Amino acid sequence: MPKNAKTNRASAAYLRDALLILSLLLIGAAAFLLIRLTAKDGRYVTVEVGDEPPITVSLDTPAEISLAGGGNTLVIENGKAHVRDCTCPDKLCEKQGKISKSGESITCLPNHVHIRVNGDGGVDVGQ
Amino acid sequence: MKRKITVRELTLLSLTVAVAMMLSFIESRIPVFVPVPGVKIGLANLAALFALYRLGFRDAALVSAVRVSLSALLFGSPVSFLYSLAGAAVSLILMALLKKASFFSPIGVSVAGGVAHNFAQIAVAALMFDTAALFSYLPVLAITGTLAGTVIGIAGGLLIRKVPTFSDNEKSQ
Ligand SMILES: [Zn+2]
Repeated sequence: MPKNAKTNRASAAYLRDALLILSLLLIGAAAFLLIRLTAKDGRYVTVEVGDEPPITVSLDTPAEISLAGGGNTLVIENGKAHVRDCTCPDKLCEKQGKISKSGESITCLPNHVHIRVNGDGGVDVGQ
Repeated sequence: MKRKITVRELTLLSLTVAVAMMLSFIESRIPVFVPVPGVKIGLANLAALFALYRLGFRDAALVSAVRVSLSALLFGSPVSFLYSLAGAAVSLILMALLKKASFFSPIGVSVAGGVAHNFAQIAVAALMFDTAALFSYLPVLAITGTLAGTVIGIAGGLLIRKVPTFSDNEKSQ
């Protein structure tokens, strides 16, 4: 193959690389903004621990609730929920930070804790 | 389709596995914002990318399989084994197809592989934990996967060019 043809083919490939990278970044950013901007403030969190029936906790009242037999603590303050004092090794649940938008969630796999913000408290599943 | 493996090829294969393990270890220390243990930024994809271009699909699959199994044993968990396996498999198959199509350079191949790696991990985690909420991390993962894939693709492209082939007159070092 002549050297020129090879160089041309290589630069065409690099151009396509750049287009792929740019479009992935744009799609990611657009989807991220879309999710962020359309999310509404939730009023309740649904808490699931293992196979136990889920409980619903209001975001309006500050509270501290011990979960998973003391495995961690759910803290409600200023209309937001976060997890504190978790026993899990990598503390990924604590690093999830505070959640308050409908659909946001905190998951702690080691303790089987799943906390999710709901728009309204009407959908109290389980019992 | 039996082929004879040369000592040099075997050495390169073993070295690639060793490097893959090292990268796996490093990334096991890097926390990811996704609340699922085992979801990684995909550094170890560098080894898969290199193996794919320099050793072929079968050896690349071998490198990934050994890497995923060993790192689950050494610094993972049975749960993270499943995400890692899904991520590595989907990523490698996609990268092999794209390489064959010779549409992208190794950089584009690596980017596609990196993003596919993250998406597959999230899909498996969402299935296992029965939580569609995990999919809301996909946009951010698309961005981080693209950035990591770009860096890995540039590094991988250099390696692919610099590391001598088996057949040529490689000097002993
Ligand atoms: Zn935790």
